[in-house]
Amino acid sequence: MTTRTIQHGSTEHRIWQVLLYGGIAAVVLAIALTQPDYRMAQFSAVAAWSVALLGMNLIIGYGGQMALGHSAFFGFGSYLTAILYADYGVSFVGTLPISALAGAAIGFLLGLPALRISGLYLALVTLALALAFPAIAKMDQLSALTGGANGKLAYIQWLPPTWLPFTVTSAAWVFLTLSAFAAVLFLLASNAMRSRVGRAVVALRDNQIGAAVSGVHPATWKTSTFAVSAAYASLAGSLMMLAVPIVTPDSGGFLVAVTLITGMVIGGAGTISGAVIGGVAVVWLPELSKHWAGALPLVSESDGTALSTAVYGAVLILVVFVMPGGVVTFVRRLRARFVVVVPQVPATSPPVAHAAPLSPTPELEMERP
Amino acid sequence: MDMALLAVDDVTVRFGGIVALSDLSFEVERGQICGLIGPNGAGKTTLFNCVSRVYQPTSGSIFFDGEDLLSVPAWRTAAKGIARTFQNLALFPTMTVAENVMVGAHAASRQNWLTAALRLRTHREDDQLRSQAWELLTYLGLQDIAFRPCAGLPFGTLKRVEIARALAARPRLLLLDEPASGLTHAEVAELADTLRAIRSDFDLTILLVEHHMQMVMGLSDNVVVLDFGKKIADGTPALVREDPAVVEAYLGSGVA
Repeated sequence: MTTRTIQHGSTEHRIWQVLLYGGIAAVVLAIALTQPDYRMAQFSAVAAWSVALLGMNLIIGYGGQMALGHSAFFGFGSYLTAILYADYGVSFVGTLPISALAGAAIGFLLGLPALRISGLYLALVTLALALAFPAIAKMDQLSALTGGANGKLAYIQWLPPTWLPFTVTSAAWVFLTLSAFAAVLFLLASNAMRSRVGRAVVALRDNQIGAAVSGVHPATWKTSTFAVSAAYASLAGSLMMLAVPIVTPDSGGFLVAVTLITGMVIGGAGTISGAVIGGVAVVWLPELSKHWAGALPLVSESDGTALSTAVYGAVLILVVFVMPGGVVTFVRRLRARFVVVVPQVPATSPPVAHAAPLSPTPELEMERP
Repeated sequence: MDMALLAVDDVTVRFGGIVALSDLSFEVERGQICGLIGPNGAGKTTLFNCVSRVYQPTSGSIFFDGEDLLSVPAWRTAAKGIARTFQNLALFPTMTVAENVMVGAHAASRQNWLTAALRLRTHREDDQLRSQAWELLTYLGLQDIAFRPCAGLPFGTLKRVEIARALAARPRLLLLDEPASGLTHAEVAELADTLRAIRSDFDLTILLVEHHMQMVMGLSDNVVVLDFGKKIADGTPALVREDPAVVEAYLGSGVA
């Protein structure tokens, strides 16, 4: 088996990229044209979840900050869009920038105390946020806005426009819209992570002192990462209102927080595309587990349903052991056997080298940590 | 222009009851290579941490190019023109060697969340940073590992990567903390040549902490000797080598 080397930015690389993204677009379109409405709601949910998972990935995967309570931002975004749309007559698209900015502002404020704590302590504090969210949403003082324990309904009118060259159901149009929003948000995040911004964020995660003496201001970059990731989670909540017309206090609660963590770990922390895989897993893994549990030998149909969460847990354990680093890391490692993409060497005339090239010795481990 | 580039004035650092540096004063002239030596625990790295603003001295002052350095936070030192390496490395293990060097130029670049996400004029800046990193890596003979992640590379190589990262900031003062540790004998000689070349090619002043005596003495214009946080000698290598206090600090006074 030979590995193929492709230069980054070469024609061959471009062709593969076009094929990949074109393929994804074709799959999305095929889903919209062929799938029944009840499935379409699930696909729409995947698009919304993946945006939230991307937000989690920015702060945890890239930033290394254990902010586990992003369900609170997710729930916040849903409520904000539901309230603005249903009570204040703001259009759905109009609620999105408001949701992003409000999420970013709250994320920034919460990012300030997060500068002083890290690791397990930050995990605990942010999880507390997820625990507090349902209680706050249920408060009597807010029930006029939030609908109290019953949650808030907002049926958003979203019909396919007449200029579409093909006919789709309105559920399919919702799916296409959410996919388009998600694609734009993924592109923006990917651009940022490939730039000076991403390098600063990852440098802070890898070695804060090394980053600081290189000129990376820890407070600026950590709080801004917090703000951006919260904006993504809040936007995801807003987008979800298009797929599921109701938001309840538990939409921002502990279970959703755990769901988000699960999705991030399965997809692959610190990867952009892992968020999509995570979204797929979050939506279908529980359902598939139920199906698999029912198919287990020696158990009756009803026992199978009861065992579905156990199967779900077993699948999670299996993923963590077989694919440490998530599905995306696993696939990348697999791909590296067949094809390697090498970065392009910048076209410059380097000055005379004063030292002979060091021969890399990968077998040697670092002498010190 | 007579003013020294770096002036350390009466600096004392206390950690609880331990005095790590006591009333330390010395100057580093422009264009010099100044060696900072002393037995383990003498306070060399503590001084580095004060100059790069990781530590705040208990008392005293440090001036860089006439400016009070103690009011400058650590993350601003790169922009001021000070870069450093670390005794035990402070690289970014998950990033490639080239990306590590690009982070070194962080203070000199401008992209933020908005411009980077929307790719507003970021392409040019990133291309520039990339080719600058490539030039530095080629200069230091690291081009073959440019796109490898730092994790897993040998210690001696990574020490060199840190020098490349420090140079990416285009500093005026370079602080090197034991650059020769983990190198073989032949590599040490090569490193000395590299440091000499760096000084003239990048127009640098270098403050060097090193245990490899032969290298320090051969390379430095001036040597400052510390022992238990105090300066015990300061002068040319030839002068310092003969100093009885230095001999005693290194060999002990058991003879008498």
